[in-house]
Amino acid sequence: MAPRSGFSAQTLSVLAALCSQPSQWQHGYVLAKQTGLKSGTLYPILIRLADRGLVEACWQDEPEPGRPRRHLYRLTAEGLTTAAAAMASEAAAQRQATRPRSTTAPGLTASAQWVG
Amino acid sequence: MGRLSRAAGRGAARLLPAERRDWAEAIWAEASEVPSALERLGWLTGGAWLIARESLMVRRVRNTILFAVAAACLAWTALPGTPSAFITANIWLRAIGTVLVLAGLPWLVRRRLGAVIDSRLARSLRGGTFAGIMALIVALARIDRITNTPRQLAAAGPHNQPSIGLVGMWLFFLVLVAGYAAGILAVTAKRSWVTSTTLSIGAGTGVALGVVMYAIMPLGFGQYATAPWLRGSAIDPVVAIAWILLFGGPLAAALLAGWRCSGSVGALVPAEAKIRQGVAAGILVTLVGSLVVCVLGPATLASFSWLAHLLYAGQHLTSAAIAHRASAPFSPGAAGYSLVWFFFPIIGLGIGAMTALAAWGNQAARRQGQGPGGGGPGGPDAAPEPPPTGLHADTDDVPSSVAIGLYAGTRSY
Repeated sequence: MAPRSGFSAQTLSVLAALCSQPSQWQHGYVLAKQTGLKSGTLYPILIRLADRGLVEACWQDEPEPGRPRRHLYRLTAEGLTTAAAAMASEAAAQRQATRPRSTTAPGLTASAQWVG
Repeated sequence: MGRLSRAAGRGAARLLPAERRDWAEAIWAEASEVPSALERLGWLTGGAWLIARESLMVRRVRNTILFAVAAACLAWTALPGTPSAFITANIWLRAIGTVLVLAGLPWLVRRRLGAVIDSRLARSLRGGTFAGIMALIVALARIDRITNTPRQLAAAGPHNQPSIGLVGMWLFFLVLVAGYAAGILAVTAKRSWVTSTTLSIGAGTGVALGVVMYAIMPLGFGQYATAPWLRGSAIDPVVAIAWILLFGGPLAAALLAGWRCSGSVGALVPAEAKIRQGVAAGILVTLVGSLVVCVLGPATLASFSWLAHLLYAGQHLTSAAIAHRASAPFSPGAAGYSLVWFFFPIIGLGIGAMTALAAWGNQAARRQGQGPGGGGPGGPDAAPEPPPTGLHADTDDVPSSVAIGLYAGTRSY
């Protein structure tokens, strides 16, 4: 059975959302809408990913008038590699878990054909 | 989103460590993009939960509750059982004063030296010290109630009546309590740059010292051995061990702690870090040792009448008589614990500082002599010089201030 990625399902969803536009800076609320995660779940994940060097963060240079500047996030090069590997690993694990099992042995089919 | 909400967010973010504040401000700023008020409330609730988690607020709330419960238990057990007005006031003032000191000191130390070191041992040392001091207050209250009945007060005459001297003794006791608590809080604070290894060495040696001291004097000093488990000449080697631990313990702990420290620690370069570890280990040995024996001794007096009968088998002495003998003013028992309570930390600090300076003072001086320009080697017989200002010692940090003063004194010879 293929090994799992080591990331939780919520973390994988955040990585997938960041992977969808790897070179673009994304906002926290946009990530929350894409992943369906609440702020209290999303931001600790972003903090841990940033601590591991997989995500980089910065403040918006030119905020909209009358609004506070926003924090922006994107994957680092290492983060992109790690995210791709994690999602591939997770996909392989899921394929293996959902593969249907064969109900007859190959030899039986052959002998049945010979008799028939 | 209103200015008030943003200001609240910035204020809440200040609860977090510096490296986390951006995240708290980010979550608050992003709330402006959430379209509906209900969703925005949910978003900000998530932000508040993040701040609570990352600021270790949960742990702080728990510790505050534990302290409040302990203080309430202390106040309840200190309620007087005798109608003597002076003793009532004495017990209450001692209990209330101690609670106020223990409540305020952590806040003061945090402002100067930062939060507690992130280790279980550091937190255990703090918790154990506070619990020990509170247990001591309870034991002293019980001893006061046993030994100071109104009849005894009347018989004692003016010595046990309210006087400036007794008030002064109470204040002096409170200062010592504050000193013990402050010492433990200081050596377990992050910006004191004391390592966990140093804490282990100092605390472990201190516990050994305290246990040995208690083994030979469970009821305080006397004219003869008071421990039933060490009769006659059997006590002599234990007394020798106690003396060795008292003076050799801080010395060995200082050397070991400094030797185990390799490289820089925090803002301190290697030689200064070694000196800091040595001083901290030395004072920790005697602080912990003194706390152990000064808490166990009065607690024994106050609570374990069976031990009193064991110690004085066949003499039919009451607990009150034992407690009175050991704790009455100027009794040998009280004098013994007072000596330990006052002098042990001074001995530990002095020996730790002198040992650390003797071992690594020259390395630190050589580094100071090189200066910021990387100048040539320092002269071998430098003239007496003022306390070195090039050291990274925090002059508000007592152990380093004393170490620097001692160093300057030795260099003048």
